[in-house]
Amino acid sequence: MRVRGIFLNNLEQLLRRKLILSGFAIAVGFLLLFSWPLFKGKAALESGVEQGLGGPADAAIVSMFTAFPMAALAVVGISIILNSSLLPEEIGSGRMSFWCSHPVSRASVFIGTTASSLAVTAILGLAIFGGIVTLTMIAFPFRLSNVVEAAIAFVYWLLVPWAAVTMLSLLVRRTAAIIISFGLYGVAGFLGGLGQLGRFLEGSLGNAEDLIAAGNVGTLIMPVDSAFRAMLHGLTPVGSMMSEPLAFFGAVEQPDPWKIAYCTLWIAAALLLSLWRFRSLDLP
Amino acid sequence: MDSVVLRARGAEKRYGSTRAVAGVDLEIPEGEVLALLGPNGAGKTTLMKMFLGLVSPDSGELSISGTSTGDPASRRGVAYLPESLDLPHWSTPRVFWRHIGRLRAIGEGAKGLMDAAERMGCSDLLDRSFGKMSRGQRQRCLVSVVTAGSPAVLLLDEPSAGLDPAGRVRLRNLIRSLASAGTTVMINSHLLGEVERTCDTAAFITEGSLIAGGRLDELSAATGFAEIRTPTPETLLPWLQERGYSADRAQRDSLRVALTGTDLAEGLRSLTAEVLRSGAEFSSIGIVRESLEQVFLRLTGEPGTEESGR
Repeated sequence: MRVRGIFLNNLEQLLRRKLILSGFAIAVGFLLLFSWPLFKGKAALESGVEQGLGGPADAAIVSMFTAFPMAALAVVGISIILNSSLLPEEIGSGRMSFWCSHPVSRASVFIGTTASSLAVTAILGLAIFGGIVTLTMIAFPFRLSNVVEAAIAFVYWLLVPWAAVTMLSLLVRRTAAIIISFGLYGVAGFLGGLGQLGRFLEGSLGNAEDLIAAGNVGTLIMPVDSAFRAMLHGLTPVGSMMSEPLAFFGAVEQPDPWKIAYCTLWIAAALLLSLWRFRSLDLP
Repeated sequence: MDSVVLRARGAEKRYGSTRAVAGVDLEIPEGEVLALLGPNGAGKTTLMKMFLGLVSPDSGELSISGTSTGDPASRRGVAYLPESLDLPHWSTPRVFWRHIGRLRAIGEGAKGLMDAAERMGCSDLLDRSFGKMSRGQRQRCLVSVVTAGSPAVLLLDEPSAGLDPAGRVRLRNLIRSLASAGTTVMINSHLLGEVERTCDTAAFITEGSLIAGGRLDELSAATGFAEIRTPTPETLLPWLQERGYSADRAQRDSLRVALTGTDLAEGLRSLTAEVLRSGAEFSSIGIVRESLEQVFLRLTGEPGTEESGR
């Protein structure tokens, strides 16, 4: 009950923040920019001018997989910037002390506050990714290969950087939290991409094992890449000629079970550490 | 039944080598208005925050109505106004009230807010955004919001800050009215004039330690001076001076006379007899006690403040 109250209070506050409003404006602009070449391509395909794309499913996958990395960067960027300041700002403004002076536990305040930012980020992510998929479906009708997988992977993919920056914001200064979070995300994504390339080229490339190992290291650092690739895997159009569609720096596929388990543990550990830190804070 | 609402026993808080609160023992009974007084950095705000569970003690025990402050339930019925609270510019007192209502255990009706706002003279500001208010208006509204619904315990950190004289009077009346209805109040303030008019008791803290505490009238010592209220001070003053008294005009209608001897009561009796002999009119005569400011300066021993201590 109290968590809900804190969640609603923060949600109300967040939805009026310029960063969030800018995020939604970026989403709308991004989708408008995406739809322009998308429907140009549709017209070209229908008129027979463009012959090289294959069927609608292939046109769809090319369109979506071009847009997804940029959309991912926007969503993760806003999530990191928003969460890097969320708790420190509430604490510094005296609002956190005020809310915690009510008959609520620190855990409730922590959960309610951070969940509101996660919800906002999720809405933003859904708007952008959902928008890309919907527009593409309108232009090139297709069926998604696994909506459930995409949805679960989407949640995991959002949770990892969110949990990381939430934890870092309570341990280091805001700028450091942003730089470290982006750095980890970038390194994990790059190494994850190498790992996927290694799998893709296994048997045909001599040092494919090394690339796979690099991918695993990336997963251990920040298990975000597998979640992203699993999301793309679920969003892959059925009937595409590309059986192993290429994503940014590698292929997309379902993650190994150990990666899912590790990702869950990683998120839980980051959140528990954040909660412990928040509960032990003396509020100014 | 134990009437103590706020209780600290050996409360201690350290920040590195600094003892912010050093083994404080304090008890505040129900319906009492206590002022926490002391120089800047004495540990007053830290102690207040320890009661609210915002700062955890390194040792000692603190409780509200018998419940340890480590338990969120201890804050049921507790209202707190921090010295600095930066609310979003778009937010209004009514929105803020709604937000608080989501966290309090009891239901919040709009009437409680309206009543408090009327008492603070800001009922017309309830739908104005905080960003469009002056500091004083904002403070009036914040006081209204936190005191709405008559909390059982009220903790106020510098509540008079930014208030104009009318606002201070309203705040004083509001606090007194809440206290008479049973609310236990702890105020952290540097406005000693306000404290004198509002509080029953005071606790003096320096360097984290509680150095004195009690009823305000008990804390102030006799000064060795008597004050005579008279409509004709110009007649009485030379009369007393001629008889060896060191006297001067304190105010337009009063004289301040140094009492002789070590027994102040005997000195006052002699002075009264002398005034009666003069035949001058007077409405009162009594020993002057220290003002709260003088008590503060004496107890805290701030260097370089001798002039204002007079």
